[in-house]
Amino acid sequence: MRRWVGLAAVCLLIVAVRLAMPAEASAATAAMALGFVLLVAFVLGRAVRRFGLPSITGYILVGMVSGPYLLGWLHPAFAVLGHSAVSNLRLLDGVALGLIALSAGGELKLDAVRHHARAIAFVIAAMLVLVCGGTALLVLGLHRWAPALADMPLPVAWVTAMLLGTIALTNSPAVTLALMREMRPRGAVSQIVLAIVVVNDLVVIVLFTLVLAVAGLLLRPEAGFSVAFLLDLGWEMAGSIALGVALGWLVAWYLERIDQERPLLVLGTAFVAVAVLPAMHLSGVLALMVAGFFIENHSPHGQGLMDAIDRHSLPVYVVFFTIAGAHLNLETLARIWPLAVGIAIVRGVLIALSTWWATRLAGAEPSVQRWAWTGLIPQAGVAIGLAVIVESRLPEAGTLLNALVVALIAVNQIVGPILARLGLIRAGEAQPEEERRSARAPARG
Amino acid sequence: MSTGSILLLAALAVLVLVGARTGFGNLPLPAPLRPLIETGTVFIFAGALLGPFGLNLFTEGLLSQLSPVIVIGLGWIGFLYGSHFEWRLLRRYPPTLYAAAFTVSLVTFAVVVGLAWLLLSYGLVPDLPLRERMAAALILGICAMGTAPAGIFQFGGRAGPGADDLSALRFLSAVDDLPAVLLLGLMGAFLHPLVPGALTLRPLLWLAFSVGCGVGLGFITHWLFPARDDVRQNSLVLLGVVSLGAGAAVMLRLSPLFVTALAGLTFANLSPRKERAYGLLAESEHQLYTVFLLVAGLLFRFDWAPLLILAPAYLLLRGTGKLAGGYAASVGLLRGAGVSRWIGAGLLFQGGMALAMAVSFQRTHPDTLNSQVTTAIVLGVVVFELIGPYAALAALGRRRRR
Repeated sequence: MRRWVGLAAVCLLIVAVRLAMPAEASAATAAMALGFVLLVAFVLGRAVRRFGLPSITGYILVGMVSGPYLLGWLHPAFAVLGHSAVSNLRLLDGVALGLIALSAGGELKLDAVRHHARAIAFVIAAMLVLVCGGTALLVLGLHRWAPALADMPLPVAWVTAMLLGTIALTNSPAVTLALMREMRPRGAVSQIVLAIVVVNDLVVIVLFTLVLAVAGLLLRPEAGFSVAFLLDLGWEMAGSIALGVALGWLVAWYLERIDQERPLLVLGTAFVAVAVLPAMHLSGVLALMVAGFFIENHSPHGQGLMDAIDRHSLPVYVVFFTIAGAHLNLETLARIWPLAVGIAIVRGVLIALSTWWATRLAGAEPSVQRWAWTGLIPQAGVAIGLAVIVESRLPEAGTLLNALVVALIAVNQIVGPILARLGLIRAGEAQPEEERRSARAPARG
Repeated sequence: MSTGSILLLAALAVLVLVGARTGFGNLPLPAPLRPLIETGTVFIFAGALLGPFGLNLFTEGLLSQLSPVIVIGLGWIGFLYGSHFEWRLLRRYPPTLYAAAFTVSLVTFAVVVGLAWLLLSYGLVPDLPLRERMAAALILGICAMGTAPAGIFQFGGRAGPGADDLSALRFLSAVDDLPAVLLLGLMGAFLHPLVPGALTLRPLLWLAFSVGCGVGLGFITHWLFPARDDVRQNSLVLLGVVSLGAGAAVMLRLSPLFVTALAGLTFANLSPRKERAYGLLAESEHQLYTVFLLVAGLLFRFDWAPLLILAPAYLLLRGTGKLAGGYAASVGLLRGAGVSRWIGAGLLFQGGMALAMAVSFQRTHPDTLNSQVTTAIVLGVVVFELIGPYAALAALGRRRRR
C-alpha cells in the first residue's frame, strides 16, 4: 500500500511540475523523466510479478505508457518520456546497452559453451533454415493477399521477404540476461539460451550484411556487385573481436594490479566501447560481449567484475527497457497489427519447431528440447537497428519493412519475456514469485 | 556520436579512473602543489584543459550531452548532504556550536555579498539589470560560506593544531554549508527567473513549492525504499528520487541542492532504513566529486576584463569574511572553549560543495554574468585549496606550538 501512495505522490509531483512550467527539451526534463520512470518502473515491476509476469514486462509497459504514443497521444505535455527526453537520455541508454553486452559476455562460461556446443550449433543452423526461410516464404506467400503488401512490385516483395526473414532470426540478449538476473535460474535451458542468443547475434550481423548486398543487386542491378561490403564486414567482425579481447585483457590487468573502484571501471569501459568503436566502424556491443567473455574465462576476477555489474544492474535494465518501451511505435502497430501478429505467431512456431528438432538431434536434455524455444522469442534493439539500416539503404523496401519490424518487435517484446519466464519455470530452473516469497518467509508455529 | 563526444567520454572515463585510482594523493609533486592533488583540485585543471577554454575537445554541444548526468549529480550531492542532518545526532551538540558555525557563515556571506554588490553595481557592470547583479552577488556570497571538511581532515592529520581548535574546525566545517543551502533555496524562490509560459507565483509560494517538493520527495523515498536489504533495488529508488528531485527543481528554476537536501533530511529523520541509503550514497561520493571537479573545469570560461577584478575580489572578500566570522564566533560564542581568535584562517578550504552550488546556479540562472561568476568561484576553490593549509598552519599551528 505504501508503495502505491508513493507512486501517486510521484505522479502528483510530475503533474504539478508540468502545470507550473511548460515542457521543454532540456537536461532537466530528461533527468526528471528518468527519475519518474525509475520509480514507477520499480513499483510496477514488482506489481506485475504478482501476476506471474516478469519485471521487464512492467518496465516496458511503463515506457509505452509514459512515451509519446499513449500519454503523448492524449496531450504532448503528458508524455513524460517524449521524443526529446529520450533523445537527451541516449547517452545513458547507450551505456546501459554496453553494460548489458559486457554482462552477457561474462555470463558465457567456456565450459558450458563447450558442453552444449553441439546443441547450440544445431539450433542456430535449424533456425537459419526454418525461421529465416519460413518467414521469408510467408511474406512472399502473403504478397498477393495482405493489403499492406499487395501493392509491392515483385522484386521489392522478394527483398522485403529476405530481409524480414533475416531480422526474424534476431533475439534479445538483454531480455534473456534481465530474466536471468531476476530469476537466478540454474540449469541447461538458461545456459543454452544465453549462448544461442549471443552467438546468434554474430550470425545475424553476417547474414544481414550479405542479404542487404543481394537485395541491393535485386533492386538496383545497374549498380553492379562490389566486394567492398565484404571487406567492411570482415573489418567490423574481426576488428570488434580483436578490440574486445584487448579491452578484456586491459580490464583483467586493471583488476589484477589495481582493483579499485570497480563500478567506475565498468561504467568507463562501457562508455568508451559504446562511444568510441562505432566511429571506427566497429561494433561496441560485440566488443563488449567479447571483453566480458574474455574476463570471465581468462581471468580469476571475472566473477568479481560480474558482481560489480550485478550490484548496479537494476537501474541499467530499467533505463534500457523503459526507453525501448517508449520507442515502440503503437501507431504503426495499430495500423498493421493483423499482419504483425500473424508473422509473430508463425515465427514463434518455427522457432519452437527448429529448437525442438535441433536439440533432439543434438541429444540435449528433455527440458532443453521442450522449453529452450521460449527464450528465443523476445526481440529488441538489434532488430530495430537492422530495420533502420534497411530504411536508409533501401528506401523502396525499407519504409514498410521498418513498420513491420517495429510492429513485430512490439508483439514479441510484450509476449517474449512472459514466455521466457514461463519456460524457465516449467523447465524447473527457476521458481515462480509466490514460491520464492514463501521460501524466504520464516517458518511459523 | 561525433568524434568530439567520443573524446569527451574516453577522456572523462580515463580521468575519472585515474582520479579514483590515485585517491587524489599518490602522485609525486612538490610540496606546495600537493594540496591540489590531495583534494582532487587537479581535475579542475584537467577539465579546463580539455574544455572550450583549453584544447576545445569538449565543446558546448558536447557538454550538453553530459547535462542530465550533471543534474543527477547535483541531486545526489544534495540528498547526501541533507541526509547528514539527523535530529537524533544533531541534538548531541550544544546550540552555541551551531550558533558559532552560523555566525562564521553568515558574516562571510554578508561581507562577500555586500562588497561584491558594490563592486558590481558601481564598478564592473553598472548597466546590468538589478536582478542579475543581485543574483551574481548572492551566489558569490553563498558559495563563500562553506568549508571543505576534507581539507580540515588533512590539515588536522599533518600540521596538528590544538585539540580544541581541531574539534571546533571539524564541527564548523561540517555545519557551515547548511545556511548556504538554505539561502540557495531562498534565492531560488525570491530571485525566480521569469520563464515565458510558466506559472507566475509570488516568491513565498515558490519557496513553499520547493519546500513541498523536498519534503514530499523525502516521504516518497520513505514509502518506496525497500524493506528488504537489496542493493540493486535500493540504488534504483535512490537514483530515481535524486533524478526526479533535481530534474524537477532545475525545470522549475529552483535550487536542486536545496530541494534534494530537504528530501535527504526528511528521509534521514523519517526512515528506519536510512543507514542503508546513507551507505549507498556515501559509497559513490568519491567518484561523484571527481566527475564534478572535472565538469567544473570544463565549465571554466575566461572573460578577462571583469574576471581580473572579480576573482581576486572574491578571494579577498571570502578570506576577510572568514577571518571576521571566526573572530566574532570565537570571541562571542566560543569564549570558554579555548578556541583561537584566528579560527577563521582554518576555514578557508573550499571544495566540491561550493562547485556544486556554482554549477547549480549556472543551471537555474542562465544570466549574463553566469560564466564569470562560475569562473571566479572555480578559481577561488583552486586558490583556497593551495593557500588553505598555509593559512591554517600560520594561524593555528603556531598557537599549538606555543
